[in-house]
Amino acid sequence: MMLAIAGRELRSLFLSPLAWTVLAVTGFIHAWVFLIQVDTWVDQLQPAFAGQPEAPGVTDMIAAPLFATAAMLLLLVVPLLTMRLISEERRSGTLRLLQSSPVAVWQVVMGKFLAILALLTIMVGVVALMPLSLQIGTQLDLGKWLSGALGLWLLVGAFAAAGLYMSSLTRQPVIAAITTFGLLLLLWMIDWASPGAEDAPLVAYLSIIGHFQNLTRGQVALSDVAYYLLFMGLFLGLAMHRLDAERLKS
Amino acid sequence: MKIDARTRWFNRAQNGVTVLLLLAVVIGLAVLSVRFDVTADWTAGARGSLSESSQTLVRDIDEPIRFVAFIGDEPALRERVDRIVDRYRQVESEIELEFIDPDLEPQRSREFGVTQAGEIFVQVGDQREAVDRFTEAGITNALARAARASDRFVVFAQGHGEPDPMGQANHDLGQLGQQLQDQGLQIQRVNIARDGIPDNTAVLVIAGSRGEWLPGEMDRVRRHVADGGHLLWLVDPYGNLMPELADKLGLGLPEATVKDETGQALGIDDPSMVLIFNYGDDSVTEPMEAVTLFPHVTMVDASGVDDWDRQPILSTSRDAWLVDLDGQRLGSGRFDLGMLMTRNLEDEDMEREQRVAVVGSTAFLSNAFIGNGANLELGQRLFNWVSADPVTLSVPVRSAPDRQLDLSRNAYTAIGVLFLMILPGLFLAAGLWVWWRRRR
Repeated sequence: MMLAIAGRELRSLFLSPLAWTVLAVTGFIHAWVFLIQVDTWVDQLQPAFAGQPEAPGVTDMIAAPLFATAAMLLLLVVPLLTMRLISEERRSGTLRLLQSSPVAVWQVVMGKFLAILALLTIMVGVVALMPLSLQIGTQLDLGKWLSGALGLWLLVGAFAAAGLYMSSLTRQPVIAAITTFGLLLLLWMIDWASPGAEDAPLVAYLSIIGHFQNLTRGQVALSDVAYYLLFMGLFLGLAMHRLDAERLKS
Repeated sequence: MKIDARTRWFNRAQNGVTVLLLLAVVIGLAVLSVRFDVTADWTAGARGSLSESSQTLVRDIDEPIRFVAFIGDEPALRERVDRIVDRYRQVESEIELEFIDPDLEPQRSREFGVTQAGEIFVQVGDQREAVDRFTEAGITNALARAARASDRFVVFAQGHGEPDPMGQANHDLGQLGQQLQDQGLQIQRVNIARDGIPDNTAVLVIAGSRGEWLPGEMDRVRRHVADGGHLLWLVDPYGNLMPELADKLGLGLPEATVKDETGQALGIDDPSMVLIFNYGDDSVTEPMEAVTLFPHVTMVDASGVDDWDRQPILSTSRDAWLVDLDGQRLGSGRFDLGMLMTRNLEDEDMEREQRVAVVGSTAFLSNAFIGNGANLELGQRLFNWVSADPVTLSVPVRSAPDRQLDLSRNAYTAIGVLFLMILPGLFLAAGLWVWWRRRR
């Protein structure tokens, strides 16, 4: 049932021009950034690092920064993709139908989440493919590339979970998008006032971008992966709870 | 099910409890994940984390470790430093890193003796070492030096009329001793005949001996050198030139003094005051600029040295001459007043370099003369060189596997066209097609 909802949601996503346009535009911007980085590497960095011991390589200077750029760009894009997920159904009245149907609430939420995650996986895949294409000209550090791609995927998954929850709170998609963006931006900047984890470990832990940065360095820590899984779990759980409570009220 | 005010209130309470439960579970799992964290390093050759030898070293140090980096407001540089220090933090989370802007805190810079921005120091306890190259190998070796520094003893042989390294008389070396202690060296005065040479001696110093050495004492000194111990030997042309030790090292130290008239330029009429203006390209004296002044100095002849690498230092002018103690002229030309000697010793898992420094004068470091020119600086440099810890831990250099990108023009164009045009174009076309179908 969950997969059926996910399939329905995906179909409606790809039958609207929105998903395709977002894919085209983000793909183009990432390609642009990526090609500039390749140019910089070939013209400046490679000669500058020549002969320096422990100098960074292509993966360090092209893949990792590209993933960081993608994180910033998707912070803007994901709220636009998630804003309609539930608010739209509420506005058009189809949410009522879903709630009175025998489908469990968790299946509805997970189905919608999986659909949006599938779309985001394609986006992350396109971004990750770009540095991978350089394998024809060098020996990439594939482990570091993979952990960076994993980090980006977990990060956008967390974005989507937050967006889904915000979409379950309102009937206005635009409000859902703005609140999602505000929340994510707050979590992004939360440790800017206290750099370094020594003085404020809790604030450092809450930072949505800090764990991603560890992953782009090739350090795959259980706590960093768990952060994103727990983040998704928390917001999906809140969204289910919210719809559940609504169902009882009606 | 009938819904009235009571069940509604009950529902609301139940809602609150559910949210609290969810939060509690998430927070509990988060705490657990941090408490029982494991990290895997996916980088090629695990270059993102410390090598085995660095990890062992960091674990063995039980004093607090601190990094101090003199870097101004340059986020990229600070980030790079932070990243490398992070590798050490993975092993020992208590490691501190402090950034100091040398422009904003000049007094801290002076305290560390920082000459240029970008210098980085490690501190173990209160021992401080400069990091010469900011790579894992450089940092680990600086850490190792700092960790071992606290038990580096500089042992002054006493009992043959030597000047006292703590004494305040004109011919004593008290000012130098004070400086060395301020740098963190431990100074010990030892009567070798009575106590032998302690095991933890980093450097044996024989400075300005006048009286006779007992054969047993001399054996101990020779054994110290044979076993790879460092030696700083300052002779006194009018004192005991210790031919047994000179022979052991292959050196010739004539019972004579070098005279040179270079001092006249500075108004010093006594030719037995030898001034050195120019220094060689050795590691000890090369950076020095100011003049150094040697009262009563003999030459060091290293032509008989065979199993050491040697580097003469402190060369006189070409017009210097040598007279014996009765005033007989022995020869003239350019003389070397000092000699640095090194040889490599192979232990089972590390390489050491044994260091011996010999200078034909003691008086240039005495309280009476150490204030002249750069004499103090030269003394410090000599002691630093000979007491340095030339043990080098082998840290593998692990470079990125992809430091060379060879793309043909065509491959580069293909990648550009594929990602910049074809892929977005396909997505756009699909979007247009969907839109067109829906229109119909």
